[in-house]
Amino acid sequence: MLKMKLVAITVSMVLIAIIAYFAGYYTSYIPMPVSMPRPQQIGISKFKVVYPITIVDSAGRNVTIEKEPQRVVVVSSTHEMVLLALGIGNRTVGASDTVIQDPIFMALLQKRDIVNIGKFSSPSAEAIISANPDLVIFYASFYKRVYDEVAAKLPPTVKVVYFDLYKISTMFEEIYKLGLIFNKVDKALELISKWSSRFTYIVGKATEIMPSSRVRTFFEGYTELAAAGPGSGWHQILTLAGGTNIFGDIPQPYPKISPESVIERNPDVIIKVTAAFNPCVDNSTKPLENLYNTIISRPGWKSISAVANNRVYVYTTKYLDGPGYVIQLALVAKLLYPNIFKDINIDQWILDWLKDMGLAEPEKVCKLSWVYPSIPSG
Amino acid sequence: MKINATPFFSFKRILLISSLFLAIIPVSFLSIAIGAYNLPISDVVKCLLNPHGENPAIIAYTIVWFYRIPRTIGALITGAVLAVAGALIQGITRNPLASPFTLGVSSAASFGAGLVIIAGVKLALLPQVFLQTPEGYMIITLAAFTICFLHTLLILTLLFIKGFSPESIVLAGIAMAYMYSAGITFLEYFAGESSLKEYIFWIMGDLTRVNWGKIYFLLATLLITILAVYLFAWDLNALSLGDDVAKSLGVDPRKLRFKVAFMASLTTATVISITGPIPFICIMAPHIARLIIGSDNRYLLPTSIAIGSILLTISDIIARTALKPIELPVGAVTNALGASFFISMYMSIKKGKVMSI
Amino acid sequence: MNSHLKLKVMDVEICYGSYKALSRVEFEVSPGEFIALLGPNGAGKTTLLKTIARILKPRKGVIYLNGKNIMEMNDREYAKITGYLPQINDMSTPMRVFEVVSMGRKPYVTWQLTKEDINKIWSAMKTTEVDYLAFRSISEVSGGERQRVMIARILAQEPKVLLLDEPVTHLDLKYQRDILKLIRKVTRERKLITITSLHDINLAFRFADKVILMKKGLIYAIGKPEEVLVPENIREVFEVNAILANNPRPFIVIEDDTEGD
Repeated sequence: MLKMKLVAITVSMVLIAIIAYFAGYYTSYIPMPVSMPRPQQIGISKFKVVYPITIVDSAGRNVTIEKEPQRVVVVSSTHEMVLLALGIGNRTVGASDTVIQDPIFMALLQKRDIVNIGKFSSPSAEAIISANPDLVIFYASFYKRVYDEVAAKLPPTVKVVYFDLYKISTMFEEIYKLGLIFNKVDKALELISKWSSRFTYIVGKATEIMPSSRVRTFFEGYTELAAAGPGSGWHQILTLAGGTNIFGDIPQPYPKISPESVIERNPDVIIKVTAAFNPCVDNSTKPLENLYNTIISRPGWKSISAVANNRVYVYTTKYLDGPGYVIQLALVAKLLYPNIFKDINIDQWILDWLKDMGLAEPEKVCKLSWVYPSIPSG
Repeated sequence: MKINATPFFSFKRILLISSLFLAIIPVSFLSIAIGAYNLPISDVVKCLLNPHGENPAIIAYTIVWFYRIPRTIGALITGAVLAVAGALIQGITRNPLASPFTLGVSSAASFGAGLVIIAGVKLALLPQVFLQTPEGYMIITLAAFTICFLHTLLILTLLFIKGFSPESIVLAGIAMAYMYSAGITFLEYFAGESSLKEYIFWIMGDLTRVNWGKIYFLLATLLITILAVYLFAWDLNALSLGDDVAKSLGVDPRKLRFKVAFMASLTTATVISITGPIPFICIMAPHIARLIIGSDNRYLLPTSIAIGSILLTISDIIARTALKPIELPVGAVTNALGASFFISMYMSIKKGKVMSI
Repeated sequence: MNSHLKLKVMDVEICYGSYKALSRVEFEVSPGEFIALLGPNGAGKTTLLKTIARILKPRKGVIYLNGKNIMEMNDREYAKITGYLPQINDMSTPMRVFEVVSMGRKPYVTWQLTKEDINKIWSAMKTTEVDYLAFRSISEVSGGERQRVMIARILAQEPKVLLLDEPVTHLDLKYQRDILKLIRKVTRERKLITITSLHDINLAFRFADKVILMKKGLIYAIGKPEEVLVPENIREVFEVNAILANNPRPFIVIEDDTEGD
């Protein structure tokens, strides 16, 4: 199962690389005005997109983009982060409430008048229209029916594309397509190559781990005692990072399990995630500490191998979406196998990603750690 | 019928009630012995006989004493309190399908919990991660109870002014329930995803929330419930003969309804603030008790205690073993049981008779 | 407390909103008297009974039992003295006959029924001949039997004042006669006060010591049956013509109207 996934990913990586190369090859042959030699300027795109272009979005729809979109509406912070990373965050004219309420995003977007289009699960068509966008980006894999209805209410001049940007299997391809749409192919390729290479590195190293030495892990989701089962994003992270999910046998994505069964299954590592803590905004890691204390003081959990050996960790998933997903993967890998992944500096990677999104001097803004207690150095 | 038949008649009933109470013992034992962590029965017995176990680090002791026993005691007490509260409300509204939930107590508790889980987080009054800590949990309980308490005062005052007829009780309860429903819908709409999940889990009712600290509250509530049984049994019997007859027997229907409603609401509020609203026990347990022992409250109320305890404990056992190791909320099981119970009741309606002994 | 009570109703007025259900009602009853309350529907019979039972509070006037204002007695005390049987007996959840009758002992009991209580319950049931039904459910007995059970309840309550609202209206002739006979006997033997509202004038003739004839909330006439139930009064109050016959006892025959048939 895992092997097949890896094969699929590697193959798509290769395909993307091939497409990227040829796309670049092709577009560079489009005739340019003869008189102007191409100046060596930093920031000018080497690969220039000629409109109109037609792409196939993640919902299988053929979408023709007539001109470079200047006014974009996004439905989640994941989408917004990718736009920021592509350098076109300033084209955002409408976003969901999670984006608007995040001070870091608002700072990056220079606090312009961005229309609040509501919750990602039920965006308001009117609000979107009032933002006068030329492109709207929705999720492809859930709430599709809701988005279809909203899309039907938009005027035909507004283009709608469906991209997930949170699934590792389609993410890089989607980023490339966004690069095409926005004429930011080089930035897209830069992003893709940086993060996909890191991804491949981690996954590659993880596959070398012998099954007998795989770390048995209990992964607790956002809600109390909600295990991450097969089908959930975290199960995927755990597996890609080379770990074994002690609840991998339960066929549900987020089953609420009994604390007794964790004692019974005796994991070597316990990881708890939260989305509520923002290291760039909050003033202390107390919330993570509180969660940590709650977990280790559950009755009888002292006897669990993970607790006894101090291998319980709580981390926040803030900003670690889109390409940031790779950082989550790296983090989990490092928590499980501190020795094998000794050379990865998670803090550096996080700062890197924040810089990618356009945050200048992120080390000054986001001073707190994403993880509690601190990551083992290996 | 000879005069000697009377003692025999009540003797039969006392025998029934005693055997029901005795049945609680094996059911409790079952509840302590079964769980996600497989413990051999001999270990369970050893742990029970040795409360201050040699080595608290031994896992069996921890599981039995910190997971199973609080939960079992919680189930027994909550079942008892809910059952009696249901029987009391049914007595004063003369409606065998009424319960404290009819008065809006569960909606109030849910709303109180929602205020903390959803609004408290949304308005950044409380960090969301705090709610998963034991202290955070206590705040949810307190909020739920406070709203219930205020709600009880409000609705009982309104009813007292209006004379406290059985119809007005039901009407008032329905009106308040809709009001809370509006508030809750509002909260749910604006909730963040994980807040919503937490909230939904809470309102399903869950006995894992009972730990040793909370058992004292539950015990106090149980004592109050038993007191209520003693105080109200005869009066409720009189009330069932009609308000006028009750008055002529020395019972003030208005005052009685107020006192009973107050006690039933408060005891219910206390338990559901801790566990979350658990549906159907209030209606099912007294019903079953009535089928077994009749409508005389002197016997009905104590029987409800036994049946309520047993019913909820068995539901809890099912909740944690049906999809091992997944923990179902106990409310899901009582809902299912309630549904099948009422379907079977419906099927057995004989023409003309609805609820006969 | 004296075992024989005298009832005195003085100038009682009851209002439902602005509607005067009873006004200037005044009379006295001595122990051992069986009083029949007669009058058309809406005359105020039920209201009067409820007032004496303390279910309704008069806006004006006082009711005395042995010189004591009934409003000043406490609930339990009064319940031991007064028994009230309403016209309609709807029970929300059916109990067994024995339990229904035992409710009569409520004013005397804290939790447990004593042997004495149980004896009294059985003797009450025997008196109204429902003892063979003791352990049946009240929902399974016939209308007549149910009424007798209710009367047994009142008897078990051992009140000094019996207030009965149309206790025999729906019963078979045999039971109408037997029950009223029984009540009168008990009234006389135990020196109780019984006030019963009746629909049948002739029953009043037969069994009552005194008759209170009511019309529109007022007492139209009060006195012995033969004094009160004269054709003129009957015409005034009931709006029918009647003849007094005497065969072998006095009774009233309602005449047909001259029109129609």
